[in-house]
Amino acid sequence: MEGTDKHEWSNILLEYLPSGVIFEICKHLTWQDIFHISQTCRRFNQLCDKATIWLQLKSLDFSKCMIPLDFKVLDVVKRCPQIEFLKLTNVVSSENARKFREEETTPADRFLLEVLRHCPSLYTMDLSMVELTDNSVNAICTKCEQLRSFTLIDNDFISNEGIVNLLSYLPLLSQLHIIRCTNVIPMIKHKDEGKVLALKDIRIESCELFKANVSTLLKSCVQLEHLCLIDNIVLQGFPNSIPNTEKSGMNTLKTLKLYSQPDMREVNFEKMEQLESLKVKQCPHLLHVNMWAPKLHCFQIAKCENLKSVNFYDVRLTEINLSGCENLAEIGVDSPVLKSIDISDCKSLTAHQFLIGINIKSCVDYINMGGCNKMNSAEIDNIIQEVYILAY
Amino acid sequence: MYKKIVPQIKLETYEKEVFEIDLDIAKKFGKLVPVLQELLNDDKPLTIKTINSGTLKKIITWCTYHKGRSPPPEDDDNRMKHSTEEVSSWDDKFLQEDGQAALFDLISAAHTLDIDGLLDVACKVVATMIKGKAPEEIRKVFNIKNDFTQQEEDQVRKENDWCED
Repeated sequence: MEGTDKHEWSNILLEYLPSGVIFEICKHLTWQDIFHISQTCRRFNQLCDKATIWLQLKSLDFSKCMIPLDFKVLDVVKRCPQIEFLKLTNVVSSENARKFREEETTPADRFLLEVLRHCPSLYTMDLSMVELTDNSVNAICTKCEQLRSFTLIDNDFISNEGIVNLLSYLPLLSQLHIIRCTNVIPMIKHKDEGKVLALKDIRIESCELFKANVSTLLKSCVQLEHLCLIDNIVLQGFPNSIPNTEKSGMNTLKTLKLYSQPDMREVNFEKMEQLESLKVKQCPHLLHVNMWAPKLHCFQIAKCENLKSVNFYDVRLTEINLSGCENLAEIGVDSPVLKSIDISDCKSLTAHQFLIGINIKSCVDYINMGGCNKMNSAEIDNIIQEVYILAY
Repeated sequence: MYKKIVPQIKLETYEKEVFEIDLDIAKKFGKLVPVLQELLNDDKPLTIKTINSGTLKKIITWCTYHKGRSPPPEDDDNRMKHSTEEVSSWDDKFLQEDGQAALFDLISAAHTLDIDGLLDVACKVVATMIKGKAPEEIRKVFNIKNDFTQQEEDQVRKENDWCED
């Protein structure tokens, strides 16, 4: 803006714009921004004391707050009864520190309960709080009927039973993320056997998760679309089918991510009708991947050093990435629409195996074979030549 | 010469300049909707003293560009992520190219005429100028005069220092 402008329009935002417009602007700000505005001049200081300005806020995120004193956080929450999104981290308690016994309400519980009293319409809750117990879960069950998304990170007390309660009492919950919760072996199911959950998106990270838990999860969540499992050390395999059920998450899953699963040995799917994307990374003990997934179009397996074979039946893959699978020797992907292939650093794959397994006479126009030591340069030239001719 | 007849209304600005505005654009002006029929029949323009010609021109350009582009519906997914739709690069450039004074004129006019989409996107642009800035930086950006006494300022700062990043 020009210098002359500046002089003429000084205090423009203040004197020129009606309060109504300032409230409109505040809709797009965070609570911290509003605190900052209140410190600029007297008019804004008074304006920010008004309830209307805080009614604009739909979201409160305290995760970047340097000293989250519990009563100060509560003071902000009380001003914002219309929030739909709440993100909380450990708060500094004003209670006297002392040890608490098991099953007792912790200061964190008492704090959260007080917070929930003031937020009746939460859609999304993201809690990174160590000392929340099942008491808090029960409070969430009764006070947050609208809840669609729940994330729990770094918690040491909430139990499996707590999670099952949460899922059973919140019928609208569609997104659940559980990350580094030491007391939870995630039991994703409804309290009443046979009842199903509305969950569509689940992420479980750094938890003690067994294959049986994943089976239960797929059985209970018949609308599941996205599943992400990261760094769950005991998980040895992915269930290949869910017996005795007509419907399960297997039939609805669209994206599946398996990252850093050190014990995962095999991934075999009999039937994944809706699966569109599969990404597997850093699963050093994974040996075989076999699946039937007619809608799969994106497939990545990276840094699975021991992977020996990959077989896909009836797929319409456009892209495969197998970079860094050093022991891969067998590959079977018969897709008529394959465009892009990355097999860089697949040190054990021979040109013969590659040509049997992948039908490059389709529409391949990108291929990366850097570091494929089992193939000699004549063979590589040969393959590239063929792709080149097809592409141009 | 053949001329396509489009129903139009007439608006007179602060500078007494008269603009003829197509009906389908005028329909976007919430405040005018109840009187549109009257305006169509009336040959005398409606005077809006608080809006200048430059601003009205901008408003017409904006409404013309956005004709037929409806905002995405609000669904559960967006509400959960709490992601507000980003300002498009066209809007961003269009709203900022004439400087701050013009932007605030436009916001005021959008507020007066009740043009929902325009008010919303313009407020978003102003919000991005404020986001993440310290009080002193906000004063600089908007030329806000610090009218606190030293004592008041210290007090205000003390009340708020717990929430900093």
